[in-house]
Amino acid sequence: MDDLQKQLTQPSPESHQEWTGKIISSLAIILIGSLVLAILVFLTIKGIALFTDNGISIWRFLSQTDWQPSHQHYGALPMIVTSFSVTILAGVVALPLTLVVAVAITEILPKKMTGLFQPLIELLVGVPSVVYGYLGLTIIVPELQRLFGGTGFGILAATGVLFLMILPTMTSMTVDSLNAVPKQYRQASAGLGATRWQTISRVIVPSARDGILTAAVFGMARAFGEALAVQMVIGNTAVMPKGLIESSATLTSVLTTGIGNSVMGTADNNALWSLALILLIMSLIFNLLIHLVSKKGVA
Amino acid sequence: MQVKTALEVKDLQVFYGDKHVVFDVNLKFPQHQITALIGASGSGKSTVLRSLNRMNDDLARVTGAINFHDVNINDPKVNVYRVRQRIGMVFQQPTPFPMSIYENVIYGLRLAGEKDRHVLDQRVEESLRQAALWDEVKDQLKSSALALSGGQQQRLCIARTLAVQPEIILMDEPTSALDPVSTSQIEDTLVQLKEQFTIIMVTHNMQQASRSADWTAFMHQGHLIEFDKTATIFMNPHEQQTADYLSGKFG
Repeated sequence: MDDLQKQLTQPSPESHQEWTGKIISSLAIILIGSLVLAILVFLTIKGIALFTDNGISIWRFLSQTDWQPSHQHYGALPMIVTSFSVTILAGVVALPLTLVVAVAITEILPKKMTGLFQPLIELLVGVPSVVYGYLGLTIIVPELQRLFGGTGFGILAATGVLFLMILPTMTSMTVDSLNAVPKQYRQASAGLGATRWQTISRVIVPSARDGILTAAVFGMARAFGEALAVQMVIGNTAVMPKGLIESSATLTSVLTTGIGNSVMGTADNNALWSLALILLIMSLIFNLLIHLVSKKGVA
Repeated sequence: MQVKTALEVKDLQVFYGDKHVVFDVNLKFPQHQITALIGASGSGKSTVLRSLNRMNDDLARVTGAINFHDVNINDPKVNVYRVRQRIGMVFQQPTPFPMSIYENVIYGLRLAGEKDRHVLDQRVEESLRQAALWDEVKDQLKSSALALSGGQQQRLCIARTLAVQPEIILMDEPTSALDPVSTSQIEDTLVQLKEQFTIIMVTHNMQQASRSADWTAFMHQGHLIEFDKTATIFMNPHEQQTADYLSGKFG
């Protein structure tokens, strides 16, 4: 074998580098994969202990409305209903506003203003949830109290806080998907005699539909999983919500308030793990939804 | 042969900010003919074209008169949306919207408020036939326009412009993103279209100008150098600059 043939067939520093890279990234993937798997397995085992070890039926757990761990009543329905209520309400209120703000940023405001608004919104995405909770506690709750009487704590206050919290995330994502609509669409539409408003409503927003839906689901997933900010304003009474300004509790708020007061391995503690399992399953469903929506592609 | 003028440009000047890019252009575009605007990159030919239906409104300052049916459509008071319905535009990149072929064609009609199904159906067939696309897509009108080939997409964009029934169609390098077969299909289509429409197109492709255009305007560095019958421009141009450009001495 001559020199050139050797060079062409034998390993070199470049091929070694490729191998090292592959090994490192494979290890990283295995690490992350096993972490996720560990969380899933652990939560599932802990989550079903209430049904397997403590003899509570899943059906009773999901359909009963009284949550009194001290009396061995483990009905999670009030928290499930409340969690979904605050999530859906926050999403429904945030989506139209998100669209208006995102369209204003991408299509209407002059470049200079966009340069001011976009970093501002991205900054808001990073504000810790306790800050939103504190805003809710000091502004929203007293205002609701003044307007409607009562304590002011409840679903409406939580909706307000979650709305403020997910608005920047959803807006930021919606802005990205509107910006991803090809520039030429705007020209082509204008060239056919469309006004700017017609172009926005008939071409740009429909073209970005999947991205906007993804943003909505993402925002709602965040709202569903938020614990601290909600706990600060919801009132934390684990009963079936009778109204929007009645003190109630979400899955997350019961978890954060209850986990410190129970002993590992008891039925009380296992019931909390079961709530956590519901949260996990829901966030998996939200993730699946995001994948389904964004994979569909345009038209 | 005396031909009617479809559109007349008088003392057209265009500025991008402080930059003067088009100087004193005077042109009369003949009706039911194809006029090609040629010139090197940066000669201002696309800028002139885009000024003709006010597509430069947000980008540049345009002075001078553009007379269309005795109305100066460069006047700020003119309704630009109506102007663009009468003077349509086809762009360099095929830009079908992410909707069905049918919805793409009637987009402009929908904007104009047309709701009658019969009118819409009829206009879709008519426009697609005019753009020589009907036979290829008549069985898939409801499927996504994005599934069409590049050449088909561009003919769809032409059909979309035709559906509004404009008088003048402006084309900004309509075939430069397409392969030779699609290009020649579109050129054939253009020759048929001039029976009913006035076509003004910008092209980088000399052969395209000489093949399909009746008239050719040569622009250089923002000035209109020469405007004449295409045969005259190509066979014996009056200006030395035109001759130099066509023989490849610059550009």
